[in-house]
Formats: sequence, C-alpha cells, structure tokens
Amino acid sequence: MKVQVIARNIGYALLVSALFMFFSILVSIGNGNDSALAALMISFTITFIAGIFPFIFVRKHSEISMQDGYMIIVLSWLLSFLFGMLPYALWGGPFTIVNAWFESVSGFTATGATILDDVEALPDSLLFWRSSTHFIGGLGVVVFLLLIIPNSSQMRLRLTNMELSSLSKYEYRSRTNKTVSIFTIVYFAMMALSFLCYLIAGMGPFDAVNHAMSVTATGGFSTKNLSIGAFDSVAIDFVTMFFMLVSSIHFGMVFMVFITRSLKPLKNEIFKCYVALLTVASVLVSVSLKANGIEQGWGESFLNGTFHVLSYASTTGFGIADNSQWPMLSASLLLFVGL
Amino acid sequence: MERNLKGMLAEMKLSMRAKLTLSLSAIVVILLVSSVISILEYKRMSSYVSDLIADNVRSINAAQKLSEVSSRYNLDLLTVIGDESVSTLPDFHQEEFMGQCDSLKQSLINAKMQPLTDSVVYAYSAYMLTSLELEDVLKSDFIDTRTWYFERLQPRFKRLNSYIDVLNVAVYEDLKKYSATFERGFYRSIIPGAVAVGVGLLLVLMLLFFLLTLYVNPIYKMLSGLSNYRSYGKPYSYTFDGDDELSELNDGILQLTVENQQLRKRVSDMKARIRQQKDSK
Repeated sequence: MKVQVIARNIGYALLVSALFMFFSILVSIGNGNDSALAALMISFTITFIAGIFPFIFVRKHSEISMQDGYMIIVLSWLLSFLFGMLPYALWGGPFTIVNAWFESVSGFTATGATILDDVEALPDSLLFWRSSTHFIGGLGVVVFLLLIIPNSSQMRLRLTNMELSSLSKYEYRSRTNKTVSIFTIVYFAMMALSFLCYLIAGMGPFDAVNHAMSVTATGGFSTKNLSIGAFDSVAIDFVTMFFMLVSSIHFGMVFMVFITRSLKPLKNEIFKCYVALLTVASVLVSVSLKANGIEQGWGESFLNGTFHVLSYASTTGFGIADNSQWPMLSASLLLFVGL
Repeated sequence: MERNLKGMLAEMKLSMRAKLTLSLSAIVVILLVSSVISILEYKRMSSYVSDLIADNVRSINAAQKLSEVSSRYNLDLLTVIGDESVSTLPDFHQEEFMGQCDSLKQSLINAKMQPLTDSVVYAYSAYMLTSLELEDVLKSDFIDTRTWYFERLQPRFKRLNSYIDVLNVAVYEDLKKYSATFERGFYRSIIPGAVAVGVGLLLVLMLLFFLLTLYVNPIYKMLSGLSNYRSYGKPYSYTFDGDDELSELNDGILQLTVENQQLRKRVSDMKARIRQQKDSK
C-alpha cells in the first residue's frame, strides 16, 4: 500500500472542500464580513494546507493498486466529513463537536437531516457552505477528484469503478472512462439550469443558488425553516418538483436526452416503472389528503401530494406543508416511495 | 504555448531544501494563524463579558447604596418619631437623592432591567416624598405620628426594599448567566487553537513519515548498498523513485560504482596482461 499515493489523492479531495470554503468566504465578505468569516478563514487555511501538504513531497503517480483505491475512497469521504465540520464547530452557536459532525456528514452524504431548530439564524456564508457540502457530496467527493486525474490514467478507471454504483455505470452508449465526464457535465448543467429557473420563478439569487445546489444533489438543505414552503410560490414548487425528478434519474439518461434531442432514451423499463410508481403514489396521496379534509381544493391536494411524493422518492426531503399531521395512508405511501 | 506551460509544470521539481522549507512553513502557518485568531476571539469574548459583569456589579452597588441611604434616613425619622424630645427633622438631601436615582438609571445593564430599575426609583421617590409629610404630621394635633409612620411611611419603605431585592436578584441571575456564557465562550475560543494544534500534529506526523520514507530510508539503503559493494564487491543496484537531489545523488553513486567496477576490471586485465608478458619473457 503506497501511503504517499493515497495521501496525494486525498489531498485533491480536501482541496475541493477548501475551494468551496473559499467561495463561502467570498459570500461572507460580500455580506459585510458576517459572523462566520473567522471560522471559515481558519477552516479554509487548515483544509487547504492539509490538502496541499502531500503535494510537496509526492510526485504524480499513475498506477494505484485496488487496495490503494479503496483507501483513497474511504479516507477521502472520512476526511471530507472531518474537515467539513470545521466551519460549524469553529462558528459555535448550536454546533457542538457532535452536532457539527452530524451536520457535516448529513451534508456530504446528501442526507439532509439537520440539528438546527432555526436555520435562518445562521449567517449566509455558513448556509452557503452547508449547501456546498450537498453539492460536493451529491456528485461524490471522489468524482470531483476524478475530474483532475487524466483521462488515460488507469487510476481514474479504477477509482471510477470503485466509487460509482454498478447501476450508475450502465452504459448509455458511452465508454466507461467517459462516464465521469458525462455525470459531471449533467450535474453542473442541472445546477446552473435550476439556478436560472429559481431566479425566473422569483427566488432571490442567494436562495436560488443554495436551493439549486441542494436540489441537484437531492440533499434537501434549505435556507428557510419552512423549506420550499416558506416561499409560498407555485412556480417555485413546480421548479423544485421538476428538478427533484430529473436529479433522481440516471444522469447518463439525461445526457442522452439532451444529446439526441429526443425522449427516446427515457423509453426504458426502469424509467417507465419509476414514473408509474410516482404517478400512482401521487394520485393516492392527493386523494387521501382531499378525502381527509387536510386540503380544501383538488389543486392544493395534488400539488402537495405530488410534491411530497417526489421529495420522498428522490430522497431530497424538501417540504411545502406539514406532513406530520397527514393521514396514515399518505404517510405510509410516502415512506414506501422513499424506500 | 499551452503545451510548453504544461511541459514546464510537469518538469517543475522542488529541491530538498524547498520541500522541507515549504512543509515546515505550512505547519508554522497553521499554528500561527489559528493561534492568533484564537487569542483574538478569547480577548473579544473576555472584554465583552467583562464589560457586562462590570455593569452588573455597578447596578448592584447603586441599588445597595440607595438601600443604605434610605435605611439611614428611615432610622433618623424613627428617632424623631420615637423620641418626643427631638424635634429637628432629618435632612432631606435632595441632591444626594437625585444623584442616587441617576446613578441607578445609568448603571442599567440591558433593556429588560429598565422596568425593575424604574420601579426602584419610583418607590424611592414615593418613600422620600411621603417622608416629607412628617413635618406637617408633627405639627398636627389630630394625626398620631406613630400611626402615620406605620400606615403611610413603613409600607412605602417595605415596598422600596422589596423592589431593590427584586432588582438585586435579577442582576445576580444575569451575572450567573454571563459567567456561564463566559465559560462557554472560553471553551469555544480555545477550539480553533485546539483544532490547529491537532492538525499541526497530524502534519508533523505526515512530515515525519515523508522524511523517513523519502529521505532517511533511502539514505540507509544507499549506505548499505555502498557497504556491500566495497566489502563484497556486490554491484550497487539500489534505485528509488524521486525527483530531487537525493535521487540525483543515488544516480551519481550508481554511475560512480559502475565506472569504478569498469576501472577495476580494466586494471585487473592490465595486470593480467603484464604478468603474461613477464611470464612469456
């Protein structure tokens, strides 16, 4: 096991985190040096130096073993969680060491669970960092790393095979070594597109970029306590639903739709089954909401029902209503589609 | 131009000196920056809470002084009421009275204390104004002085003391809260320092590992190879992956040993030829 090679590649992963910490610092400065500036600067300094350190001694290696590859994947994730908790822990507030670790892991794994009672009490720069952890983790810490490694490298191939699930690697007329590029292009393009759509729908730029990062990663971190429901906008609800659906589809499929400019790539059994499941669940949930008097009109019922079905099915976790009071049938269906 | 730049970057090598300087500088930077920020955060928290605690103490002192002044005045009044031979009323020190009220208002800690402080000031004013009735009470034949005291003045005096007690309790609660905040702030302010020290240690360990793997171990192996060559004539074949002066040194040693070996062979061949010529003669 070549420790030097592992250290160098983990350094790449930390540099990605450092880059987004730097963006968060810019957000803080843009907001007139909010309270998280010091915490972010310390975190950036520490993460950057820890990331760049191995590069001082270790030259580029193109050959890695399977063992080295596994260690790179595991340690990249773990150290991303560890360094990712620094801004929270150093800022303080409700973030004890355990809470900071929880928030960091939840962000990078795109889980979306939070320890915060009042999200809006956080400074904007910290909210941006929070959403950034979704963005980095949504694509995969190692996939970011793979962007830097040369195409022809055997290491890239090996790490791609380890990081991506077998379902992700199902080829849509693309060679394996192009999979990473395709995923990345689609991911960034969706993030940019969702950002524009949110802006057009009436969201402010800061909220738009945060929600774009969150919805693309199907993470669920919002800048508001009431999640998407805080905006009280049907347009924003529809934008969110669309991108939750698209983000939960295989990126290779999305890529082929844009390349071929047709919906033919969507005509496969997996996608058809998925859409059918969503449709049936949405109808059932909506009818249940209307029948139990939770919503007054059919429009509201279908909107809330479909939104939450998509949110649960895509594992995003956004909400536009308090579904803790929903009837048993609706709640059970939501849990089922979430599986 | 892009290819030249890429080529240049690929060929860019760091010398041993640069590597060691950079790595140690990185560790120093981490420790320095985070220590400075930790100290600044601690100072900021410390002065903020110190100011708050000082304000609390000032409030307590002002309230206590009011209480003392009013108690002393009350005793003087009781002396006049109780001892019929005393007919001089105690001085009503208006300036001191106004000064105490202003002092208490100025020692306000936060807005939530305002109503409590106002209550004390009003109770104090009410007590002092009621005490001024004593002159008329003494002159009156219809009003009993003692009855007047117990029915008019004493309730106001008790109310004043109770408001002062409430204010003191509120101030003490605040003091406790700020002490807890200070304690929490203290631990928070040392976290950046602790984190930096932790990461610094990690980097030191990493530096130690790299130094051992990339410099110390290769030097030992080079020495071992040289020793084998000199003692047993084994060819020097040690190679390692490096891009700095140490790998150049190793390449140099390799080359020297090969040349030395060739030289020795040439010398032994020449010796053999000379012997042969001697024997043939």
